[in-house]
Amino acid sequence: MSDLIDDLKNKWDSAKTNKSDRTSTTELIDLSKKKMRDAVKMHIGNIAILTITLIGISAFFMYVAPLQETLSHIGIALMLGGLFIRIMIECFSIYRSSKVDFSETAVATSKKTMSFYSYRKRIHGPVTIGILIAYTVGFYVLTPEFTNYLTTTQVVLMDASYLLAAAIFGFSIRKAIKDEMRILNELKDLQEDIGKDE
Amino acid sequence: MPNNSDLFETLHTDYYGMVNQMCLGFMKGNKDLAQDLTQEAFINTWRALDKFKGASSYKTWIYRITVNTCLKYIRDSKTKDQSSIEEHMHLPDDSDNTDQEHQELYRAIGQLGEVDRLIIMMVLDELDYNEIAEVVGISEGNLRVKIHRIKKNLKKILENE
Repeated sequence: MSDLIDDLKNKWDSAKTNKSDRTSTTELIDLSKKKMRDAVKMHIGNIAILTITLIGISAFFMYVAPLQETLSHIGIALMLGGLFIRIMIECFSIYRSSKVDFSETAVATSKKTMSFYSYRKRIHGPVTIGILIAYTVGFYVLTPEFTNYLTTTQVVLMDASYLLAAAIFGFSIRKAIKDEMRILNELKDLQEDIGKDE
Repeated sequence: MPNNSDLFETLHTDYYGMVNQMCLGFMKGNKDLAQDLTQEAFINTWRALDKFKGASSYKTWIYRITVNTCLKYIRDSKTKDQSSIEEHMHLPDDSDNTDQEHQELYRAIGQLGEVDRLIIMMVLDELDYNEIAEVVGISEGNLRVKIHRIKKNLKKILENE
């Protein structure tokens, strides 16, 4: 057995290179900064889109269609509340993702990564589905009052178009959950692999 | 006390070969993928530089970052492309002039599981067992059992080739 390892060690040592065409340190630092900027932009982009939507809907109900009925107010609260919770979750996700430290042991890093993905699975699963349901209920609760100001055709079109948007959103949630489940299963396999032989 | 850029320059120069070799082994000898992975490992090193507390040597610390980067790279690649990076890792590298012997070594190591692959590469790099245990985060006793099993697997793989 030791001959085998010695032979492999010799091959391993002879394969070692210290190539001069490696990326320069300055380029690496620049690349790191660029990646950080891109990640921040992406996170801020998501939050900005949600915030603009929140502001847009709020402005619409304040200035364009100030609905009067209590039921409509409950509907608006459900829609805006759901969006607001989603924005808060997005901010917390950024904080959580920054907690994974690559300089820890493989076991510690995989545990923290697993905890992050478990959290994401909950967010993309019950929490987001809950928010979508609240938003949907809120939206349809507005229908009775809208019928006072819009024609039946307009209301039907509005309700039907929402169904399409909700279906697309539902599909993206399903995809996100599947991705998260796959990563979680891989992390579980990894932990079992590391813990094997104990 | 050197500033972060100077320190990073030193670490990059001193450990580039070590990290690249490990990435090459992890990527089953594919130089392009290994180059990307090496770059990613050093980017993670740069980001973690402020967190280095001196509890271990820089070498062990960089090994930890490299191991975690390798494991993450596989996960991310599968997320981006379901056809999976594993398929690319089996492709022969046309531009590769690495001799047959090295390819055999990488092929043999490549048949091991991801964690086993990383552990055996640290053994081949003559990292002390207590340091490898520290990188992976398991007890030295458990590591010895693992290494024994990995060596047996490698023997079988090489005998069957």
